[in-house]
Amino acid sequence: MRAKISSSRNPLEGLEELVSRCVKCGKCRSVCPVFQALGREPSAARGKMALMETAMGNPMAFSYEELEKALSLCLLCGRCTQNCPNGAKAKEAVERARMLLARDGGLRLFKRSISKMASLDRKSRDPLVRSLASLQKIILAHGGFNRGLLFKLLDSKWVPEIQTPFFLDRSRVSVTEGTGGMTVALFVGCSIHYLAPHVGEAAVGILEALGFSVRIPREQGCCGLMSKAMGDLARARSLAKRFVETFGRDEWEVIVVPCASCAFHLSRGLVPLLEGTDLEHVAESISLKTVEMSSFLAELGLQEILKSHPERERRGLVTYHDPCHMSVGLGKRREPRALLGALSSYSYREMEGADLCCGMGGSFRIFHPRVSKTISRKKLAAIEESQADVIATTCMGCWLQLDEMVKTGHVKKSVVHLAELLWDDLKHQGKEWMDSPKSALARWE
Amino acid sequence: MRGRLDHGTRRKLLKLLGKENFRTDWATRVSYGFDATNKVFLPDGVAFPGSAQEVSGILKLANERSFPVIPRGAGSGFTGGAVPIEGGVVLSTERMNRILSVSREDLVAVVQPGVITGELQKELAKLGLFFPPDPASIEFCTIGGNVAECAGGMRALKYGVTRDYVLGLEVVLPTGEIIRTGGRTVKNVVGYDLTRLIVGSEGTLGVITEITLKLIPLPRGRTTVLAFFPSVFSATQAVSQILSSCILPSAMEIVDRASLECVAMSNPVDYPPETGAMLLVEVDGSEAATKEEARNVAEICRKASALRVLVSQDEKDSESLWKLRRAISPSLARLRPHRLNEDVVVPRSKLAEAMEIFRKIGEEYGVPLTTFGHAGDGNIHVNVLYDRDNEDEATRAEKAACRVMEVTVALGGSLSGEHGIGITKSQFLPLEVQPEALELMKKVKSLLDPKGILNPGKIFPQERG
Repeated sequence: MRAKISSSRNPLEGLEELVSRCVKCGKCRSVCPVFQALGREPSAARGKMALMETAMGNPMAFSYEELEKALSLCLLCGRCTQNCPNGAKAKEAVERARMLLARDGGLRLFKRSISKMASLDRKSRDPLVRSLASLQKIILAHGGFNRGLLFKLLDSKWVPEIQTPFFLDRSRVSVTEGTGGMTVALFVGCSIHYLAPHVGEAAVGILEALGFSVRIPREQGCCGLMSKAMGDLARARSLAKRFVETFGRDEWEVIVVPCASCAFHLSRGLVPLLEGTDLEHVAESISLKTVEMSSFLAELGLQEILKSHPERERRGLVTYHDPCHMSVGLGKRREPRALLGALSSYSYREMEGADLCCGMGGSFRIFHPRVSKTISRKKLAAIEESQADVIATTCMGCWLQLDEMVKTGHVKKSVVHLAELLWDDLKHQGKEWMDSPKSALARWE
Repeated sequence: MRGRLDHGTRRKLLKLLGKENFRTDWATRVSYGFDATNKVFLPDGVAFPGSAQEVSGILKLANERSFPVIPRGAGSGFTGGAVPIEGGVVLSTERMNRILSVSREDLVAVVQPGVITGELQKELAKLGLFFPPDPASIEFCTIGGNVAECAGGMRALKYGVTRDYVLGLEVVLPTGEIIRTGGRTVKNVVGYDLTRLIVGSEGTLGVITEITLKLIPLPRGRTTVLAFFPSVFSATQAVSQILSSCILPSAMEIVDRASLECVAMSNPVDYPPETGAMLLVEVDGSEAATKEEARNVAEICRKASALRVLVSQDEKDSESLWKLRRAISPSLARLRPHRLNEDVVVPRSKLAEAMEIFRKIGEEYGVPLTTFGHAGDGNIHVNVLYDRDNEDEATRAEKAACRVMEVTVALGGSLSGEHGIGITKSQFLPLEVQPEALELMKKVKSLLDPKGILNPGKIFPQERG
């Protein structure tokens, strides 16, 4: 049973500030992927703002369930806030309202389980995922079962095969000593750990090749973005705390994060979560050290190194998909393109609609599979129309979604994480260039 | 007294539209209860009809059961035309959103009312065709709403307003009959011009379910001239001289000092310190012609004592200048969170005088008041800014806006150029419309809508009591 809301208290107190700037002009309708998929006003940012405003104005006469449902129909992509002519912050308001509603009414069992699963530490979570992996093997061996959510989720149409051994268990990735002298830490997040260890290995490969010593703290877990997005403030806080405790050491100057969504959360969302705690100041300095990997590599000048390599035969065209957390959240569009443009194995071709949302939105995909699918259709059309053979991205959520889209849509194109292509290029060039990155690295030392 | 929707009526609407397309849940009702005036009135239900037949069914039932029906496009209007002030059913045209046909030979497009105007323009541009009206909300407003409000935009001087591009309509009358007006030819004088009666009727005389639009070939290029003047007066002098030298710009926008200061807070704009007004002039057509006309415009501006004149070199230049113009309205939020946005029109010869009087009104009432707008057609956007938490300021803003209206009419102008009357300006209607004409309008309304079910409480001043 879910707790009843206490009647006297306004459940959305503290939101006025974020909501009051919205004048309902309608601009958000032209940028909101969910609204464009559903075509109904409650799903547009201004609709949600109106709902929150109405609920705040009359806390006794609103539908808790309907408000919660409307607020859950948001990808938190941030386009509304970014494009609002009046400076209203709809995305931030939705995030906050979800927390307030969860605090008063509790999370639904389903959401609670997902958030709990995410927040477990590796010792308890890895064995669980390992048994899921065995189950998945059976399901896949039988050509998939179409019953029950768990079965569906484990079907390869939903997620790629769980890869054992998990990334953090692979001996290959113990602490490495590079030649450059500077030490960086690597945070991989859940998707790389369980589903795409090869992306993690590519990341380590690139960093090592550039001469860094790479430290991979074994106690690392989930970044906490999903818990925060679901409104589970307590778990989001405890995960933030764990990240700060695990990565808050002086050994490294930079914490490299290959997933743009994790990177967005860890560099922007950590401090607000730990505000007022004794970890606040540490969190501030760690946030500043945390960088999304392709931005880090582009700032380092990896593209110049790649360009200096001898030409080789091109394997085809590559294009880039902008993850919302990367382009809207971190404001990074140029960096991954600069790297892709410097590859010797592929030629870069911009895709029309590169910044269209893929529809994943983390847990959004789980709670609203049909809406997610509708949103993804535009993206799929853009991918089909692009001439590219390979679609590279920088967010593991997008990577999952895009991979599923091209597979179920029978599109003969492959989806990769940017790091895979970079690592492939570097490996191909052999070791002789290893002296050259020194000058590029000097500024980091 | 109108009854709320009773159980039987709801059942009939559900049967007619299906449960996905007739909603009575709280979230849908709240979010279809407002428009860009930011006033929320809760409807009893929201209908999403997919065809003229379904619209007709809703209206027939409304007559039978006596409940209000309020047509709504994207809810981006500034005068409350789409808000359900008396409850009832909001009729959203969003589902009827297809471009039915485009004919390059006839230069005609047939569209459903829910098509987004900006998307229509994009599709037409691919074919080298052009539908010129460009309200500021073009990226999200619907063509149906544009027709119902007779939307304008920045290109009105040269290209006219929505009205000038509507050749024919399919309209569901308030009593449920489906009629067609006009046709698909530019010339048509058969019978009364019912098309023009419906255009700009703010959803009070019928629900538009199909629109036949006149198109023109897309101009090949444009060049933009930006000039800073020491005063509004010298800027309007330049406007007259441009027009009297046989140049017809596609847009001529005037921006007062207060607006300029505001937009400069968030956008890179370097203006001479003694600037009193900024003028933005766009000429379109073939590249050679626009370049020459732009040179002439620049020369006229200089002669009219412009402090600085810039001419765009390419499309990117032009776009950055227009971006600045479009950034003005949103940037005003930096002064105060709320605004009374009046779109009055004065005869072009009175433009400088009007802007000067409006500025003084702002000073007199002690509220931030900015003016900018379409110098070419005399349509000025007067923004009276206030904070609604500051009651005193809000009252002063109301009074200032009221004075703006009175001055406009006294100068021989009009209360609204493109926003319509709705609920926010209805009390001012008698200032401009003589009693006999107002009576005639009411007779037309009651002839078409004897039970007064379609968008009640709009346009006409409400008798208070």
